[in-house]
Amino acid sequence: MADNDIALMAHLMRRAGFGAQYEELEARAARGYETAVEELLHPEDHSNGMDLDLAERCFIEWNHFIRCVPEYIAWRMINSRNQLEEKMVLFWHGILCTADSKTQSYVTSQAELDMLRRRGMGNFRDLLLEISRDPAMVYFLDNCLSHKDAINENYGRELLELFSMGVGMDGEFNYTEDDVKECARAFTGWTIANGIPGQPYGRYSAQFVYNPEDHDEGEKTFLGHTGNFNGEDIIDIICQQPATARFISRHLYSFFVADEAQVPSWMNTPPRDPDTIKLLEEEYFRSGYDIRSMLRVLFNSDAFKDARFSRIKGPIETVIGTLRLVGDWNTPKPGFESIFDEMKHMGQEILNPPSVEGWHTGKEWIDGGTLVRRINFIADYVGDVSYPGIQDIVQKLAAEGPTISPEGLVEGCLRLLGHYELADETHQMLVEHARKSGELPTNTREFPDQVGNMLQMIVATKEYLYA
Amino acid sequence: MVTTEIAPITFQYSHTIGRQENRSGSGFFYPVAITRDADNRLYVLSRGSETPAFFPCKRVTVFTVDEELVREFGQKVPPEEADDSAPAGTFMWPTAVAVDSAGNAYVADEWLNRITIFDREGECVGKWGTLGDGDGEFNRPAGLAFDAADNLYLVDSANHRVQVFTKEGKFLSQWGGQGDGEGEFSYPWGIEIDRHGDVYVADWRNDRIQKFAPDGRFLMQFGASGQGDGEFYRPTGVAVDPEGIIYVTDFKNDRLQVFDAEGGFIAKLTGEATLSKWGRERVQLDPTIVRGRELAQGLQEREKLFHGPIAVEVDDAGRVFVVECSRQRLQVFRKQKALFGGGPL
Repeated sequence: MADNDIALMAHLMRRAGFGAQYEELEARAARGYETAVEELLHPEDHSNGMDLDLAERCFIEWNHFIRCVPEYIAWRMINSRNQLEEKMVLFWHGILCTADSKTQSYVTSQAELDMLRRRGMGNFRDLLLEISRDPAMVYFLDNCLSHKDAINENYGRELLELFSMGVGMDGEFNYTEDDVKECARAFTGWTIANGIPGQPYGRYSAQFVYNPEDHDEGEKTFLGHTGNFNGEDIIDIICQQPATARFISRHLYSFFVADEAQVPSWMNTPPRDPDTIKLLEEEYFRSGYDIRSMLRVLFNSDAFKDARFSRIKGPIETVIGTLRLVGDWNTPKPGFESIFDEMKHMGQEILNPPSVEGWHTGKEWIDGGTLVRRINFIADYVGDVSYPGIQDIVQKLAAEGPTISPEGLVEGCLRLLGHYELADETHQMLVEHARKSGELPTNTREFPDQVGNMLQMIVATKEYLYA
Repeated sequence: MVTTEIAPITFQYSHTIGRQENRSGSGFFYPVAITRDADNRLYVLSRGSETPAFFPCKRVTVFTVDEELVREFGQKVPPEEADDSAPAGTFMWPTAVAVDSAGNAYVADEWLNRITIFDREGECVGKWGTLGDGDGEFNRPAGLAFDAADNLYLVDSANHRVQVFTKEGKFLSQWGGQGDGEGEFSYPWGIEIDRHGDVYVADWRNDRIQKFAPDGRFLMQFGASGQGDGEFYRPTGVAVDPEGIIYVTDFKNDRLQVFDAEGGFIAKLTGEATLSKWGRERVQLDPTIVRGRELAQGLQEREKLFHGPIAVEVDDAGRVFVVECSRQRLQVFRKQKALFGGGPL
């Protein structure tokens, strides 16, 4: 199989998933790129390959999910073969944000994330409807405090600003303050039941309730449309807007193709790749707001295929990708908590985005502290040759011959990590380093550690920050 | 309050015991197993939670049926120390507890592959166990039960078999193997020994209960995968009362099912929990909880239901104790025989 095909598959799996070991890349590439894309787009047709039943027996808190929800999400990201399905949970979790720091109810967050998994590649209108009825969201953005005689604009504002249209595009505002108020009026009565206290028996999932007595039945004018609108009508109007097509397209591009400007600047900052954004906008309308169709267009576009190493990996991608690479956490064991500490210290805590705006991405992931944390974490893992994924890399290199040249060691490690590409200068530095040991015999006791050492040097490069 | 009524046996809800207590004291944290001693004191094993790691939540709590705390013993070992060197008396993933005729408590740990023994005062007095699949070795011990001669029956779940030991840990016999045929298992879990010495095993992934003679000879099985009467979705615990009535925690169907001695379906219970004594004490400490409970819509209907019924025990007085791992409590029912058995007036 051509290296190019595997390199492209490595790119796809880093973006549409959390990376993959080399054998998985070979297997997916052998089925063809478009087939691999379709497999990712249709998790309902494929087993996720996880023995969740047995895992739940060990992680007993997954029974009813009153605790340990981050562990469950991470477990799925690490172990599901349907990688895009899990990646979409992270995608939407970073846009349709709620935070456990306010909701304090894992069981309710779990229901939300299940919904994001279920709806993540479906119709955007359905997703907006469900998130508007999602108890965690209703509580997080205070729609439960919005009443027909005293509206709270919080949800109405964020629905427009951060969940669907954005403040503006092409230098123009997308909506007015009056639209925000009218939107909030339409969502009055969309509330939750009073929750059962977490003591003495633990949390219960919150429940959405539509209270018609607290719904503002008056006439509303929203984005130029006038009528006795309820929330569903507002979402219908939102979905028809070119701004919504633009907003979703830019988010998909930024998450899957290349780092974009941060969301707050989108009104005045044109897309980095207007042609691809236009393709996605057209598909949004052509497909009737179907996210799966937009993803298909995206992954099959040249813009995507050519955009290798143009996105800085987020902390969750970094941690999960490393665990998948080395083959850790494929079976239950104690000590999961440290994984979340790592993500948190790198700047991304599952279920706790810093605000409703989600995480700022790209270069904002990196500062002195998070960089050191990130490199140390990955280097500790890839340098540990007891992990099955690292052993595979060692064995594959050893199988190439009785000795390996310094250039071969660098090239081989880059290839088996997923066809990473280094700047010439960096590449040359690694080769020079490898030359100090000269041609290496591959059957020695030292060889695994020599490979581990080279892997550690590669993951410490600037280039490895990128996906 | 009658929950289920199928003549001639009814089950009357009695009371609820426990509350969420992630450190120690009057409550549980992810309780997974129950047994009782000769004085009818109950022993509930809290497996605890993975996170946060600082919760010292793993323990055995000993208490009376009237919810008086007697003692607790055992403690958590940090994940990074959860190996063969873990100190005696510590747990990582404890699964089961059984009490011998002298009142010593035996706790199985499926991560450490260890049986730990505590005396009547809760002092750790020994441990044994070796990971493996040979005679006397085990891999992820689940249920434990003593027979009348103080032999310890151990469900060796990842080896898909039952092993019998002396209480000192000397191997006596074993039966089983992975599969779904008679006498085979798929990750079995709970175990019970009835007054005749016959052995009942919750064959977890085969969604059935199997019954064996004391020597391991297959006697009968009942159950199948599903949600209907007599069907299971991962049965975890099994208990048999002095009259041979069989109780099964149908874990992922969130119910207790009751069967006659031949495995015929009698009844199903879905929970009737109310505020326990310990629960009330906790609530009364915090006016916001009192107010929250007053405001919560549908509290009684939601709070009463089983959430993760995982283990069951019966006593000689006809009481049935159902442990709910996800609600940190147990619900107590009383079996009652109806006076009138049906037919014309």
